Amino acid sequence: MNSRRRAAILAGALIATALLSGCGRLADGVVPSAASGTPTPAASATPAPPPAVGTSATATVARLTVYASLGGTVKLTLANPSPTGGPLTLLVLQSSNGWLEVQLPDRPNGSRGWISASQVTLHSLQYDLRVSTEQNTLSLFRDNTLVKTYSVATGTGGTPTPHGSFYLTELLAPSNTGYGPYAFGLSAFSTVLTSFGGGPGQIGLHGTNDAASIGKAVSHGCIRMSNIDITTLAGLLPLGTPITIE
Amino acid sequence: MSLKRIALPLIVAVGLVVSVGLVTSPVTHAANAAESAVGLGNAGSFAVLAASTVTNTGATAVSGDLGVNAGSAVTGFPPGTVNNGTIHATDTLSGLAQNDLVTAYNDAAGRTPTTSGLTVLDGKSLVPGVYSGGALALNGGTLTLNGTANDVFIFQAASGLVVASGSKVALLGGASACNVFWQVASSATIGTTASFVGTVMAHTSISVDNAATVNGRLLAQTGAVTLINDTITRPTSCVTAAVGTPATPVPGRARFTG
Repeated sequence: MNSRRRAAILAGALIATALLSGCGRLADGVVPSAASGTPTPAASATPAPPPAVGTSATATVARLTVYASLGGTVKLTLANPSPTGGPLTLLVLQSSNGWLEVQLPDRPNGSRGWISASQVTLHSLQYDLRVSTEQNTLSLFRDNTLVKTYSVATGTGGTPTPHGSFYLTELLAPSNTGYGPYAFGLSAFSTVLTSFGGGPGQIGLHGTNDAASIGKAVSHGCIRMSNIDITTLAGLLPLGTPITIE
Repeated sequence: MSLKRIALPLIVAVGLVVSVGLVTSPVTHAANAAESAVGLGNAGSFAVLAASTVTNTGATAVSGDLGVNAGSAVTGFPPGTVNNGTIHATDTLSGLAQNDLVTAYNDAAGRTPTTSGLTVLDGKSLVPGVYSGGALALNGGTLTLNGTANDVFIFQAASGLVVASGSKVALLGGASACNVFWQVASSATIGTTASFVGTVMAHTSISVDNAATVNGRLLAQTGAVTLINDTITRPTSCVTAAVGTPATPVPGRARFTG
């Protein structure tokens, strides 16, 4: 397990513990402050849940304000629903007294920011995905236990699938051909292509109309699966689900 | 007298006593492991959520989101006010919230009761647990819920919930409004000036009469929520991290790198 994924799992477990002890939703209108303390979990009578794989934050406001740091300036605002029409969802990295550090669906890859916990609904996550561009496989884990490994296509040497820790940002039922019945968007962007097909070079996880390409390094950076497999994942995974590409 | 002649009337008598007891008195079952709170998902940010309409008369103050889905009629705001939230009339969030309400309702309905056969709640002081009954009623008295901030109280009404005028739900020992849930299989009515606590998840509708106070949520699955000069306040320090549900696909043109 790489250190980033381990850190994300640890953060998820800590956040889930804090939330389950009643610290999940905090006061509105507090200016982010580096002096804010970390919520202290209280004792609970309920049995301990399995460690959370992560925590997602889904916006409950039309425009979500993202700060550069605790106590810092506004970095950007994100529209909710997202440009493709789904609920704006972010992956939580850590929490601090009513504020959440989240991974952003933005360049450069791995961008982070801080948001108010009062502007989102939190969900704990059970599943995560791990992609090997060397093996051209995608493994589905539930509560850190392997469920199944799928054969996938990944990027070529010229248009590689970027490595790193990302999350699923959206789920489309594509109206155009080539993507199969479902296409997840990732918070990852091509390191080579700044635009593609009218989009910003965003990496997707989707089906295909070229089944023969599965298992090979042939894509422009996206991760292709068989249409049956992507249909399985589309019926299973919440937005915010972490995906690690190695 | 033969043993048979003695035993038969005795068995009948014991049977009658047990039967009467089942009909008239709540029955306490073996204690469950401590209950976990009902996960509300996206419904958790709502103080008021209905399917058809939210209708208000007078100066009702709602703290938290207010929404309808799939109806679109929210009337009476203003003069009613919504603070610490916004009005969601059949938008994405209210749709997700209604979906999550169904899940939460079914979760609450599926919990195993620790006490069944409950009817009148007046004068009772209850410990954490799951309480079930047919029609639940608070007839102007006080129901006391005694537990810590993490303790959970779930009420299951197989038909309606009627909270009469002037009734009160009191919290003792640090018990939290976050962890009080009312699963109502038909509709709920909260009377004039009543002081009520908890999240009402009604299958049909919820009606709150004049000048009542609700420290919780009013969530109606298929019908309306009606308010009159009331104060509805969503608890603000509650567990909200339910397990995420599968994403809903959005039709549209994919522009990923392919």
